[in-house]
Amino acid sequence: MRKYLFYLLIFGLIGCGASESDVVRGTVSPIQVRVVSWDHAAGEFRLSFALLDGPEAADNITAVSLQIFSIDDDQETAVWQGSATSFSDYEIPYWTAHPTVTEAGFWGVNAELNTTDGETIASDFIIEVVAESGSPLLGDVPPASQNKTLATESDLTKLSSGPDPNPAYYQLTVAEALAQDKPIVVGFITPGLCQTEWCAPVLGSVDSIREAVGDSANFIHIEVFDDFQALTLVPEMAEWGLDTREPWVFVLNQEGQVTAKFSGPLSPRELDEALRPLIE
Amino acid sequence: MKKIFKPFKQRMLLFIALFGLLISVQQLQAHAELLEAIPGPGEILIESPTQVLLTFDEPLKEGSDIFIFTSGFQYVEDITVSIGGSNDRQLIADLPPLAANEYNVQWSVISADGHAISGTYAFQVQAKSASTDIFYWLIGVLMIGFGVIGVVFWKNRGKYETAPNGL
Repeated sequence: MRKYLFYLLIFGLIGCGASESDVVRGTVSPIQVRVVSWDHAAGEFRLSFALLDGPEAADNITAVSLQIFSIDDDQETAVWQGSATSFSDYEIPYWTAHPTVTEAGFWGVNAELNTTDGETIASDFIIEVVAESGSPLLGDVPPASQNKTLATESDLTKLSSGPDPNPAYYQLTVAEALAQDKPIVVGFITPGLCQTEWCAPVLGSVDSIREAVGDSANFIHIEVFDDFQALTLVPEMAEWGLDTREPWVFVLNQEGQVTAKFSGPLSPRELDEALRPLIE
Repeated sequence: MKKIFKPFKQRMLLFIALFGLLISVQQLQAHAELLEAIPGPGEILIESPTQVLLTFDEPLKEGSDIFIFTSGFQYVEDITVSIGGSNDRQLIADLPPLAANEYNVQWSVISADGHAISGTYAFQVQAKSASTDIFYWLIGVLMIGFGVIGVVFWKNRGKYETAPNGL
């Protein structure tokens, strides 16, 4: 009898403690969108974003379609719609789309996410599109920079903040590479001073493609910082019109024209897809 | 699509100006990462929250901000954003009462090392019907009733026990 009374008491106390819950999980998207690119200029631009479920990358998303709306007008028609491509071969898997937005301003992005269990969930976010990119545009020939190389700075540790710099990246100036008839990959990266999964792996992505294509292209790493203590920027950052966010990677064709540029995370596959057509 | 209000654009422009300035004078070594959000991504609330509370893993700098907009990109006005007084890793947005709708929290923070990151997530304020109120009220009364009965039985348990000799 005592046992039953005890259970009854416990049940009653639980009942007293059970108040109306303020939170239930439901149909609202549990996904957090993190826009990880920033070079969004009027025209066609690369928009990259990560999808997080809690602190981890959402691994149940199979497809993403985007619609971009003006938030200044009472427009219900998207100014652009298209799909995003998944790049899961990176520390934090991310998605990339190449929307075209013709005017600068703030734009609303509606992302429809298809999940592995057949559901479609929506996530909205806002991006800013600027009138012009300060960095070299697609088709431009960038400045023929006289960046530091092993010919001008023999101490490899001053050419990169990374723990184990590869001399292969510091053989040519941009000016010298432009004089050769080869595609060029130029990366403005600070591998030792940006240590998170968002930016640090970019040089690794460049590394894997450099190993894959061999001498078919020239690869140049320009360390973002001139002084790793004072954190002063190398002059090439301003010369290329780069704001101080990093990393940046540019792909140039044999004529020296920019054919692709990437702000933020860059997976080996995304770089390969940009470079491969130039060497085949 | 509803027209977005000007203050939103002005605040966004101010944030972007600060963003550029801060980034240009001090570079980054790490990123402030969001550890906890209240309300959190995907949560459905049956009452309007009074604030959005975001906790990061690093101290935040002025210029960090939170914007709230509905699924139609309509900006919620009259929110006050501040960095937590005693906890400079927290970003707080005091909210006006929110009507039933889905809301997006777009946050942009600048960590003490000068780096800026941003993210967006959604929560929903659900319409609370009268029947829902009655249901919860009844459940509450029943639970309290069970609790009281349980306590009464417990206090009087000796009266109901069988004597050791079985009589």
